[in-house]
Amino acid sequence: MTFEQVKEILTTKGGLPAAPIAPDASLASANIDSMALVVLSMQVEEGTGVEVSEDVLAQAATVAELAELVGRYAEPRA
Amino acid sequence: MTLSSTAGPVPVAAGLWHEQHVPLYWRGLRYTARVVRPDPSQHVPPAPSPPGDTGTPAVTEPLLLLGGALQDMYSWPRLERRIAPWTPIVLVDLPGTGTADDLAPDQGFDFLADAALHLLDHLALPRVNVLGTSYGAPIAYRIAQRHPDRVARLLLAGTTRRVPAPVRALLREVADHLEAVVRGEEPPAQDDGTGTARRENAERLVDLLINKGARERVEQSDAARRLLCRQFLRTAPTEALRNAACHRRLLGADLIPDGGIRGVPALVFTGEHDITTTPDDNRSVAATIEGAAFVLLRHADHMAHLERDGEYAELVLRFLRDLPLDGLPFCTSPEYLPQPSAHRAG
Repeated sequence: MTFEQVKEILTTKGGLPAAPIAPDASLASANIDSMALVVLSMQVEEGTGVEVSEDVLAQAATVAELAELVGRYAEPRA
Repeated sequence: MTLSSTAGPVPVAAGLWHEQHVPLYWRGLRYTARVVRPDPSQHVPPAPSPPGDTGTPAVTEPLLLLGGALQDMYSWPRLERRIAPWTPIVLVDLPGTGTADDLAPDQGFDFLADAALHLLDHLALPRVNVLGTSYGAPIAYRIAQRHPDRVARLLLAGTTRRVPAPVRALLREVADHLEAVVRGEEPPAQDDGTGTARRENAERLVDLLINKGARERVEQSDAARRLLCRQFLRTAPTEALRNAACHRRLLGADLIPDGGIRGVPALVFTGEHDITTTPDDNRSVAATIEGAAFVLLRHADHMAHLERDGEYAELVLRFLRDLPLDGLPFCTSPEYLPQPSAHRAG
């Protein structure tokens, strides 16, 4: 999943303003709170069938890292 | 009522906001407030005005926010973000919640209202707006009733004069269980080792707060349910004891004292699908406040601040700025209720 896709979910489904969501922004400065992470987790699960905990996603230092992490979960499993 | 929040592993938004932590001490108990305002050293984009706003300068008194039983002073990042550009927000971990000292079981909402007033005195705030949600509503009510001169506007969300019988029964049961577990009288859940019993308890609590029957009609219902469930499952035993104490406080005397309120502009609201404090419960509280407006947020239940955070904030901001509440697509038209004689202010 790309940064743009993650941003799209966070803004359209997670109710966050788009402007602060930049690749190098921390989750806090991008306003990504627990509710937004839950919404993101649920969207990923819905799209891939793979369970991804928001606690794991919260470990990301930046939004780019978050997108990378989500991407890893969203990749088809062998 | 037990309420939960967006509090979790992610810190509150930083950078654009300046936050000040204020240590407090009241009748032997330590507690802390947090004041959030725009950081003057940062560029803060102007807050989007509510539709219909004529561009009136954003001048209103600071907002004191008294949240739910399972919330703390970090639980409202989305409301902070929307309100702070207009006025400072004061959040507080009152005794018995968050980082504060424990509150003795025999101390109730009167004590908490006094502690909140002490906070206002300490911050030299003669007059504030007060938003009390759920467990915070009886505290906010007492402040406005006893010191109407200190409250510019009163907002109560998810409130009731008395916790309904089925909710009381469940809260009592949950409190008994939590206390027994911490005392070691019961195993950490009559569990099968897989966490099933613990999860069931968490889900029962969540069922009090989220209207399962209106799942299709409440926005973000599944996400709010999952957030709350995870939060309950993460609760440590010591925290669980405090939660139990909060539950018991709600089971005590009437939450809303007799005598009503007058002389304070007030708004009472909740989600139209609230089953924890039903629309009628909220309406009956509004009826005790002279001139109070009562509205219901559409497509939301008791957890409206999570489910419709943008609309929730807009409603609050409109009221704080004396903007009209009529014709808003996300809530019902304001009702102004006749006061029953028993609660007529005076």
